[in-house]
Amino acid sequence: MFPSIRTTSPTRASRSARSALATVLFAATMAFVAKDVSAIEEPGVPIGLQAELIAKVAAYDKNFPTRAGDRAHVLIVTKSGDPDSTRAATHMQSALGALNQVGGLPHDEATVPFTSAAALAQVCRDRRIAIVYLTAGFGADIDAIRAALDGVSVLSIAAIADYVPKGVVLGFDLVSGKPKLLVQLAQAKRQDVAFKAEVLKLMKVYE
Amino acid sequence: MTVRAWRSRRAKAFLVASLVAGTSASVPGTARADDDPKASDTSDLEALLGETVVTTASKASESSSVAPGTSTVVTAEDFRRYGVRSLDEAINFLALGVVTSNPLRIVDIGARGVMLPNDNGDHVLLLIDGHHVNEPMFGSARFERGLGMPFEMIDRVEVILGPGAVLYGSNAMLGVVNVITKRAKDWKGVHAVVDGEPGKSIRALAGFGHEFALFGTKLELTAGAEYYDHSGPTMFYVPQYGGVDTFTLEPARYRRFGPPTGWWGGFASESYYTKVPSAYVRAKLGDLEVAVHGKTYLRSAPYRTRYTNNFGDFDEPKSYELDRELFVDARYKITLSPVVRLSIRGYADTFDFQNERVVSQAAACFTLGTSKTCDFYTQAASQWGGVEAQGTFDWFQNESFVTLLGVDGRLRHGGSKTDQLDYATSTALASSFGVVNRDDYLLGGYLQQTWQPTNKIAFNAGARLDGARGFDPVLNPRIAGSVKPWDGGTIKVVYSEAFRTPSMVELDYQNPIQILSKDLRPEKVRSIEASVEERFGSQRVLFGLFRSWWSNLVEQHVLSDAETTDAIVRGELALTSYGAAQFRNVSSIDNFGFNGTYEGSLGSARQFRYGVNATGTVARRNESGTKRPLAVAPQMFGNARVSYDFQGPWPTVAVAASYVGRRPADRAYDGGWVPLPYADPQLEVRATISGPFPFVKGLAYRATAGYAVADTGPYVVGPGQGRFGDLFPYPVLRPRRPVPDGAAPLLRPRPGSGRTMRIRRGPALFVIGTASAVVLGVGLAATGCLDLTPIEIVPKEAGPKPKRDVGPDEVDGGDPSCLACVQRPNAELGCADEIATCVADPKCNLTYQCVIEEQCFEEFSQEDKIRCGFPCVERAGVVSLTDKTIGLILTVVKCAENGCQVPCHIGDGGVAPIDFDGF
Repeated sequence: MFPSIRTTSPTRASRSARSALATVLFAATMAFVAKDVSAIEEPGVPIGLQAELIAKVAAYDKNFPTRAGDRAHVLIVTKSGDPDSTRAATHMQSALGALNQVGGLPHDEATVPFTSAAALAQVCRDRRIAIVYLTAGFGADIDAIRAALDGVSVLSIAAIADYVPKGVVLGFDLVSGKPKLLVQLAQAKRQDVAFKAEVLKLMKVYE
Repeated sequence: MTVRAWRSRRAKAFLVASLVAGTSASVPGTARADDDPKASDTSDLEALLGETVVTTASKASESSSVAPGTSTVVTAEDFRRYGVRSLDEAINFLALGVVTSNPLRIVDIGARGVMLPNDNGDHVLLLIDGHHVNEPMFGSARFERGLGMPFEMIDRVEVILGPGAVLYGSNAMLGVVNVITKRAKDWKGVHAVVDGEPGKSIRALAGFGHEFALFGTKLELTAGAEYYDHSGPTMFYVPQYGGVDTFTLEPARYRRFGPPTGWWGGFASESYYTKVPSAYVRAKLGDLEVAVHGKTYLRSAPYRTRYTNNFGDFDEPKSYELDRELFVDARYKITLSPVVRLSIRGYADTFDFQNERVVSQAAACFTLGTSKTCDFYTQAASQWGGVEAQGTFDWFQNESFVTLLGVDGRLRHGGSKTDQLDYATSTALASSFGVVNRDDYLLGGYLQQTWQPTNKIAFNAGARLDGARGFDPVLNPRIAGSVKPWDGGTIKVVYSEAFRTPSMVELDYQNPIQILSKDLRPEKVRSIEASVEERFGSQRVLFGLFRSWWSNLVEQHVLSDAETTDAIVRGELALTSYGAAQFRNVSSIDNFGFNGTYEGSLGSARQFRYGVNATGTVARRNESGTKRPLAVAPQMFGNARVSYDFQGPWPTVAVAASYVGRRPADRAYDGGWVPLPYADPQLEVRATISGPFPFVKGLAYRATAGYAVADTGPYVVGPGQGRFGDLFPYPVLRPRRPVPDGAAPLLRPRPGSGRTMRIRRGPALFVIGTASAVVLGVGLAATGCLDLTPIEIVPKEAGPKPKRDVGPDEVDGGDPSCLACVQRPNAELGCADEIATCVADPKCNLTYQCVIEEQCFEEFSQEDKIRCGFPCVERAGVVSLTDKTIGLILTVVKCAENGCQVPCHIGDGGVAPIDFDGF
């Protein structure tokens, strides 16, 4: 009369099958992982938002008008062979191109591959670059770039937050879901960048 | 019948004080001063810096203003500033459009006017760092302390309102809540935290974050362990008379000890506790990221409602619920080219649930031969694992036209059972019931296309197709568009759908009064919303309208008499299973309304911050053409906050408030209440002061104090809630003070009335203080209280189990000789003789029952059985001392009152008419 309430526990076979499946999945994942352990350097702040921030914050650099003249030249540097760098550069060029002004000035952008820190510094001097934007993949080159840009009047900006403490003047980080400006103050002085006090209050400062 | 309980008005106020001590090696932000007299207007820059970046809505980083949904991001800084200590508090005090309701057990979570009580959170998808937490057995996710995350590890919580199945599949009907933990760079160093509420709770956390090179690759490691222990305070429930036990015909018993009084209520000092040890480890090595999370969540509720201790004893500390959870999530990302990125994620989860209910009502135990107290012990366990692969195609390499393609496959297993045990001996009194044993799979594929032709316009369209064992594939589309017609302004429109696959319990659970569901369909919701957002400087205002249509909601449907008869005829129910239920697609919901937010900051360093969120809705549940407001779900709710940071060594002071409007109690519509019981509006205010300890670098403090206006919530407590109670109109004491508009009598804590619980597990007393903080953390890790040993669901046959320790003040079982007398199958004696034998034994507790074997009714047609049997049966149940001896338990006196003369055939002794009037 009463409904039969009977069932069986998972059989040993089915448990074994599940364990085997889990093992296979884990092994497959590990095999896939083992293929390449080079790290993707992902910008925490979306590139489009970085572009808007660059356009605004450059105006608070007291020396920006002097450095840029009547037109702001922006140099976007890519790391050869790094697809994330290439994508970030394309995106940044597109995003900046959609903005009317950078630092209150008309502007143009150019993308160049990185060859050496010295060459980069030379390009900045020769072409009167106001802003040099470093995309991803420069983790091992930052020290050299910092040294090469000493004494060059240029605002160096990093897509990756980790580059700022190492010697890039300005960068972006995502802190609790909101963009944060990072500034390397010592390097800023060496590159003739002087942000106004009211903007520094909005930044995380490295000295 | 009106059953009410509440506590003293003095309980309105409660004080919460927290002391937080922490050490951190992280580098604080430093404000630079400058003597430039020409202060520029930085409002445009501040507006950009105030832009919230979300990753949950479309599985990519994007500004919240263009994300395909209305979102709130609550940050760790908000937690600290406003004294938030759990996820549900973060939702109530800081989020937009979503709210929780706390029955002092697991919270109910709702959004935009829809809240479904006791749904275990299975209409909101909970993610921890993108990992799905909702388990398949009940669909449950915990939003209170039971979340089990070391709280200071949380960086932010993204709350995405509205259907989100397009990328996440089942459960994301009300929204998606993604708990995102801190990266190592944001949690560098060793951290130790101690906080507590005096006389009530203590929490300790230890953890660290570190970055270092491993095999030439950067390794980011964050880890944390937390232990939360809460007991009390003592609650007072106005006593309610529970009537006569239909089994013993004595007053109902609601405690294991002492004489049966029939009274439920009084002071509950033993049964309100929570213990949550938890740990979380996250490691990122290059592009590989692995997260491991484990928790146990032990809790006991100090009352009885429809869903909690629904026939358990009052203030019984040994009635508890326990969750245990462990998951591993590993994901790997690779960029194949500037256009193509791939990611693969593998995950494995285990979750189990245990519920022990100590019951001293003989009628609830309903098995002859039990001692006065029995024990319903439910175990449920589920394991699942799967792989999700995802490809992102950034066709023009500038994120203007991006295709996201993914597949997600998952294998699941779930099982559950309930055992009815003799409390004293732990003997299984019946074979396991409510047995579920299910293996199934989920397979989903999704496609999302985003298109941003200019930086002023964005589109997002996609769909996900989900298949599951036993269901037709379900397609859930979403289409969204946003436009920025003016500087700082955004207009957004979103249409989306979502679904929920019925849980394994809803699909496969059955017991003697619950028949198996049939042809359940997934729940479905469609929603459309539009919003306008404006940013000006550091100020942000948003106003939105929404409308949703829900269908196929799965609920417990109580069978009508005709349905019961049909079920009995089909053999799905026992003859006496009156009031049986079945999971069905029962109802639909229509809701519409608005939500708005305003937030901002003032001051050169944003010292003064403020915000307000408000939601107003009209939501109606529709069942068979009858439309009613939803029980428990508030139609008006919101929150507000204000804070000022005095900067430097000085503290931050903050006040946050949460408001929930008047709402019907959970039993408003099915408890026979006149008038309908409503919970009064609730306003909770919390003041917090926090800051760094002067002269001690790295240490911080926080103290909070709270005040709640209303002293009742929307949950009816007490023994007489259901149909059984309706049949027994028994006297109810008048409340000590009148309750307007009926009752909504969930009680709130009495201030300062906390008492130490007898049961204490885990670490012993903590000394709150900075000096002990780090030592405490080490000790916590060594306690081993995070027991995640898997349980196995193996249905049991009735039989003896090891004897339980019974305290001296507890009642042991009935006399064995008497039990044998009554339990004997195929009795040769008539009922009268059986009863007479038992009556003669003063130790026997079962003097008024009669067992009538199934064959008693053999000579009657099914209709006769129902016609005659039902009026006689007041309380019935399964007697399955052996599986072959299934009988009926009739309450003889009730039969006599009805004048029902049932001839009874006892065993092989021939037909022996029984004169019920003789008893």
